[in-house]
Amino acid sequence: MSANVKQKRTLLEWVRGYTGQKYITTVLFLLIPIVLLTLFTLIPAVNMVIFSFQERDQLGVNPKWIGLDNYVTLFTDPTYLSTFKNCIYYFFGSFIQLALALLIATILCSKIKFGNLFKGILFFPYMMNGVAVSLIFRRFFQKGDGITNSEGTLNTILALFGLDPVKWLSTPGLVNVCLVFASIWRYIGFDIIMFIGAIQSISPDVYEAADLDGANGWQRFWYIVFPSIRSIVALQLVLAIKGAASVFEIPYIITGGRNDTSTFVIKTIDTAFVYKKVGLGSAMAIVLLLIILIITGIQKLCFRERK
Amino acid sequence: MAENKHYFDLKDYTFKETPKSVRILFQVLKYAFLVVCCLVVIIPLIIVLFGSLKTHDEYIQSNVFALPAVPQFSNYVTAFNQGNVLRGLFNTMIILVISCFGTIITGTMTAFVVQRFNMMFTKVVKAIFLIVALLPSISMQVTVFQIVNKLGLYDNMAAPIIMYIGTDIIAIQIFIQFLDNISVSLDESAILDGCSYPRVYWSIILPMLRPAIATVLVIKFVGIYNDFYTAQLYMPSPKNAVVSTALYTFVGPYGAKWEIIFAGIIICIIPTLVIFLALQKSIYSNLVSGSVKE
Amino acid sequence: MKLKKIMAGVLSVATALSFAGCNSNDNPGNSSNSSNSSSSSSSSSTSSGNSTSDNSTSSTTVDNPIDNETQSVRDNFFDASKITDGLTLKVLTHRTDLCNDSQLLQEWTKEFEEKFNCKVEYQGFTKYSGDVTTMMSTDNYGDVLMIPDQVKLMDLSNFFEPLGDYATLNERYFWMDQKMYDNVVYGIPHMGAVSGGLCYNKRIWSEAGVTEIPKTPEDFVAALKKIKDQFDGEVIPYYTNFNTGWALAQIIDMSVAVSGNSNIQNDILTSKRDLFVEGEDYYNTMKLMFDIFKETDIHEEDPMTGDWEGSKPAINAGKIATMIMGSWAVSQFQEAGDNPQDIGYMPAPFTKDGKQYAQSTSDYALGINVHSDEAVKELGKAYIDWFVNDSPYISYNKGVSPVRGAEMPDYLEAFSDCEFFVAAPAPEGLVGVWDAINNDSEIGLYNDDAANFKIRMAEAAFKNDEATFKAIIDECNKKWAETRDANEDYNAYMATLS
Repeated sequence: MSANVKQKRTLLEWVRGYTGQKYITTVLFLLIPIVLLTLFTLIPAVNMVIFSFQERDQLGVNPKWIGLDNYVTLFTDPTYLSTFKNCIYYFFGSFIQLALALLIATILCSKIKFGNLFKGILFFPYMMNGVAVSLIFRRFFQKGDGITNSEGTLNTILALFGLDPVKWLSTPGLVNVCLVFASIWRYIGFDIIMFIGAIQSISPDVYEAADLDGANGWQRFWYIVFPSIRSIVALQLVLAIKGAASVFEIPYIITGGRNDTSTFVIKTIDTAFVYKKVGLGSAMAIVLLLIILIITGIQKLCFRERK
Repeated sequence: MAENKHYFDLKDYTFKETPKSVRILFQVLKYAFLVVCCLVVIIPLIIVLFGSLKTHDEYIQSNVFALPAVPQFSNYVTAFNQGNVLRGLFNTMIILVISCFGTIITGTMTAFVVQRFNMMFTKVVKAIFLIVALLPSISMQVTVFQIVNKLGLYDNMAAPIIMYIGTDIIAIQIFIQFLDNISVSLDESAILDGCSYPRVYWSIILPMLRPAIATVLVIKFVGIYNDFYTAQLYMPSPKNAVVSTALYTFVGPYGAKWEIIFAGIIICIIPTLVIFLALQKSIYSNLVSGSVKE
Repeated sequence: MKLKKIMAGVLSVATALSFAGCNSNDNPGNSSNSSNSSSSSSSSSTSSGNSTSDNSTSSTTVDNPIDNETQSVRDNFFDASKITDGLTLKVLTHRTDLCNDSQLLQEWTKEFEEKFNCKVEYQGFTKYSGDVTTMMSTDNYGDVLMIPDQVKLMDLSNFFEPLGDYATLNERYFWMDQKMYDNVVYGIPHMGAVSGGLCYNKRIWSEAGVTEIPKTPEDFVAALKKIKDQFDGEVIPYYTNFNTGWALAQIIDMSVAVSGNSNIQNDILTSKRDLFVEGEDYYNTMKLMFDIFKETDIHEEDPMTGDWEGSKPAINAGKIATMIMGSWAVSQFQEAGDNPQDIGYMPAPFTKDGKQYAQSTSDYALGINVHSDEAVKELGKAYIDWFVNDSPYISYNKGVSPVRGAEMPDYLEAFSDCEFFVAAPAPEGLVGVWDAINNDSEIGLYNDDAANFKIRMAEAAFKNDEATFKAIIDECNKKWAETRDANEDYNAYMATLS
């Protein structure tokens, strides 16, 4: 009896004590998130791995185990991996996007009139529906023929400056630049907001001191702002690179991957859903995942060294 | 601290005497740059607005910058009536409110445990959340769908709600990042005063996370409000239509008219704009405060 | 953060758009037209190949002898006594315009609802086949639905209720082998069309002085040039609709149609011929496409930003002279403006032994969910019976009725000298082989994925790059031959022949 009581007390104490509390809180707080994560992400992910070793169609009626065949196909037939080449455009685009976002964020964080207005306008495209954005940009880059449609927005602007209209989306090479532009247009607002958040999380005291010392904008940015937000810049950069590797929505909706604008993810979708090779498509998704993991690994290494 | 020291070193070398003319030039450049950026953003949108007010023939024939001869609000009426937009707005509201609430509760709890407790288990969970954020989810759709169906949630508003709550790893990351900037000393002093961990979470962490919550709310709102696919796939019934699926019926294979689609886009944007404008101030002011309050 | 966005994007569009081709411009008739020809290894009614041609000229009434003779097929199709009162029937459809926008489907269905004292609920899908295929990984995919082309014939019985045996249903309906396996029919095409022709503006063509419909590719290109000379800068002689992707698949439809051979696919397979042989049908039509596309002044200036929706009123108003489309597009072009009388439909400009050919093909087939309740299934059969026989749907859409001997749409007058045929079914053992080769080789005759050969050919044509065109032809032939020779079913079948 007394042993029991004692044990109860210890249990109770343990629960009340901070170690016990830690464990119980952990379990309680993480229960729902982990269940949801398992259901909607982990199980499908495991299935994806399984599928990549199978030959199966979309309905999965009679899946067949074929070992590594899907991966062999992927790495021997150049039609699959060669689609990564257009990602280079987006890769460079993401640098421009980040640099631009950082510049804008820094300017917006300095003393400026109408700051909120500028911020709001620049952030706004991010809030728009992807399909809407793609429709807008098809209109934007349209080369009108004067018969079925009028000149698009960009060519109309060119005409204001007395320049000849350009077939933006039909010119190889140029078309990818246009798509990168649309991508930057859509996503830059979010980067700006993230950077502003990071910059403003720096103590206002530091700014005040800097202002008292008369630091100019560039010094202020380079010596105060940048070091403090370096980690978030690195994070955004890595995310942007990964985004470039897995770019999809903008080219898919605006050009449908035509005129040499296809990307690896578009190829993956075509393989999995147009050609119903869900197994091969899963293998492609796994390859993409591995590439992304490698980039993350490299980033982790570099980042550690710099520290 | 190291950063501060670096800065204090700096002050001795700062060029205090930047010429005034250069400063003014910088000011002008700054504004010019911002104005150009904003024009780039606004012009395509203006085209949508103009287009939505034109007749069909006008849309096809007139210059994109030409103002509509007679503004055609009938496009909006058509978009509003036929697109089932009212029900869409209502359903979207319900889904938004519940899943935002859910995401914030589960997200902050997860971030709290994962960031503050330095245990093996929480480290593993944190790593899983970080890795999972990298998964390309294209191929997972078939299996996700089967799971939703097995839970009996197919064609039910609960399906997207649960998925929006369950798969928002980005929100958790934002909370974790934000918590990194909140000093542990506050928790410690509270614990010295005898607070339990749930209590620390509720009374100290949660209020401090307010700015991050505001940020997550905006991201969440944008994501859900504009998400077409989840709604279309998991609740196809017209009675469960959300704004984007309601509007998407216009982009269908037959008789899609751009001026009406543009009107639809504008209708779709207006609530976003209103909520964004309302939340904007709170986000921007809260982002700074609360991060360092020692 | 960007990754998340992209993932969300992937989520949001992956399955949803993947079958759709280009964004808003999902093509209503195409997927189904192509389904027909692409799976026409399983195609239709050998015996009555030409029966439609008579009707096409003589637009007679619905009340004809065939209808009465085969009335018994209707009577035995479903058992009305099994249908209880107050049932609800869920119907999945690709016609979002008719069930969401105009509500015409609901209106037409009132008659049916009253007759069987039931309620019919429609669900429209903009990206029909993609969304519904995903739904079909569960049991919950409506009661009556258009059978998506993703379902293989041999899997039909896992998903769909048998509707009857082939021999019986074939008496009354065309295309009964479309969704058939082991002589059991699982779906009845809800409508049909004429494929492999061209929509054109009759007024423009005649004002340009082209009075006779061209019978050879050379004449056709010459006619387009004539239109260009006559109306330079005011009329686009030929509109490619290249950026929709699916519009190019219409050219494959034309390949089958101009062959005049209801066995063309089987012939190509069993003779071990290449897919594209110079001087033969598939090559000829692709070459015609190349020859039109390379003349930059007879088609739209910037094909990448073409506009399918904008092209409809334009052809109606005479700003576009010609487009290659199935006959399903005729009604859309007629409705797109004030000049419906100007829209005509002409056979493909190819002549074989002095004859021009056209193919009549089926659209999506209506099937019944095998997991529905028995009474609902019976009601579903009644619905299908009503839909193809009595509903105003087919005449509203100016389609070809699946019912043998029904009235043909009136825009086919230019086809009076043209012979119609219906593709023959593949012999047993070769069923599905054409599709399998087409798919496994990733040639995708009817697909519009970004790397599709048709799209690359068109891009080569725009640059007038004939070498690339030839290279793509060779590449396709090689892939085709390799995949064919690796196909087990094919080899097994060929072994039985020799």
